[in-house]
Amino acid sequence: MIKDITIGQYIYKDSVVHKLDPRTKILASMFFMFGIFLINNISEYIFVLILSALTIIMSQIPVMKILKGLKPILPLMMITVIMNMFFTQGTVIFSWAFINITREGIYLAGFMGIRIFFLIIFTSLLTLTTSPITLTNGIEGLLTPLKRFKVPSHEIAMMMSIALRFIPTLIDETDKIMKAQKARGADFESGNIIKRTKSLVPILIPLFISAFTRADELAMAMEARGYRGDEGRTRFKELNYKTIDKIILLIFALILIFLIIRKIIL
Amino acid sequence: MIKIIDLEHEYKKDNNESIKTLNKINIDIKKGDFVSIIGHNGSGKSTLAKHLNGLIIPQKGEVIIDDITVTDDNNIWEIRRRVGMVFQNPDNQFVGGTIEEDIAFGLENIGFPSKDMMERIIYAASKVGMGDYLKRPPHKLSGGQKQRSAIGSVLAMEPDYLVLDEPTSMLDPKGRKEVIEVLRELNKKDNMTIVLITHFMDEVVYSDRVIVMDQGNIVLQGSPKEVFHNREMLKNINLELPKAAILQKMLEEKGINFKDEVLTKEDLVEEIWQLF
Repeated sequence: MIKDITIGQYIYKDSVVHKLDPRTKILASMFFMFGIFLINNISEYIFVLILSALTIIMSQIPVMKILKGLKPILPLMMITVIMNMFFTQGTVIFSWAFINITREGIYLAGFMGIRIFFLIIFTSLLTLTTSPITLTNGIEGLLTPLKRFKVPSHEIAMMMSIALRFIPTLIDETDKIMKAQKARGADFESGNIIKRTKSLVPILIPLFISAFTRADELAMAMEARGYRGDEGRTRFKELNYKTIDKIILLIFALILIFLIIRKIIL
Repeated sequence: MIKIIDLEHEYKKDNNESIKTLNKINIDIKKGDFVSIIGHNGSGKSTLAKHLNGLIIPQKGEVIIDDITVTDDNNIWEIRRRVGMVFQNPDNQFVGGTIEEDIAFGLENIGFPSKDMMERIIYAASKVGMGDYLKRPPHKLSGGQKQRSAIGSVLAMEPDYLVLDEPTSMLDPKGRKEVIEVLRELNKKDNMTIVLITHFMDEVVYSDRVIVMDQGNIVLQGSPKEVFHNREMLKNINLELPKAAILQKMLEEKGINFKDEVLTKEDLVEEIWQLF
């Protein structure tokens, strides 16, 4: 299961989505995420579904790969859905003991579930189609205007890209540690929640220790290769907005603006 | 040329006891040399390596790269470009998400023009036989491949010297062989200066010069043949002979007389077929 996490993985394909400017992709994803929380009827959800499907097809990323990424988030999704279902006030349609299920609750739960679903799909798609360094360049590009206010945009971006780069490595390591602990009789699957949470400690401690060692060695390797912040640095992939970037950004911006205006008016 | 003059290094332990990891080290490394430094854990070999590109600034003594002395902070970046360094753990020196991005990382740091980068990346990757894997992420590569691309990343910056700090100690035998072959080829074909730090005896037999370190001192120095001739001395500091030499010794104990002491499997075969 741990290997299914798709956030942070990058799959190289020669697709339109891959070739988009990272800034376009980041901004469009942000617009999309805001927009997702503003829509509230079925036809708009169908529109979002079509939009997502189109993006996935254009990205050439296998659908299964993206859907697999949902698996680890499933418990979180379930909790949100259940919470919404039971704790929303409104017209009661089902009642048993102290549990009241309302019509509004069911709607909200459904919408919440769908929203999280699309949220994960789009964030996975962003990292699946954008390599860490390109993503960094994009974030850095978007943060550059903030440099005037002493925001360390390059450092933030570098930290994020290293974090992304190390996700698969650390996942592999977690797998290894789990196997090693299992071999010594550790039990991660049985018992109640408290017992299971406690059983994670023998995984987390070695994982943290090795992460610090890695950080230390990586810092040294980076310095050895002449890294000294963004001073005098050039870029492997220069960012440049193309016509397609402008069109895509415009489409997503217009959708968001439409949704915001409608929210204000209604 | 790298000149190390009377280099000393000591660090304080928690209980304020100071430990000397390097003691009056003097080494000259000429351009085009293939020098191996061997020694056990705690022999000071890694500390020595980190002095070569300014990761550690000498406390006492001098390290001179060509004409630049490693002391001045302003020169440190030029020194790091000239002396490329490869480390032990292949994962913990991979900065980019793919091989090409990792090679680009070093180039970006030295301000290499963006438009020429791809050409240089292809050149460097093909030097280490990784030209077909440019878009691969590190977790889809074997240890040997990762380490080769780490060498490629350093080569892209066109260093004059290549220092490798135990580059093979975390690899399987196949990966180890790949890395050593790449190093030998770089040394022979491109006349690249190589300083290989290792504790595998079988790896040092291809170098021009072997430096044996123990407890911060250079205890032996010379060609691989000369060094391995001092079997007793090596035994005292817990260093083994290359496997071929061990086998030869065992055969000698069984009463077989060889003409020459050997270090590699090939040489041993050569000796054996002339026996009868």
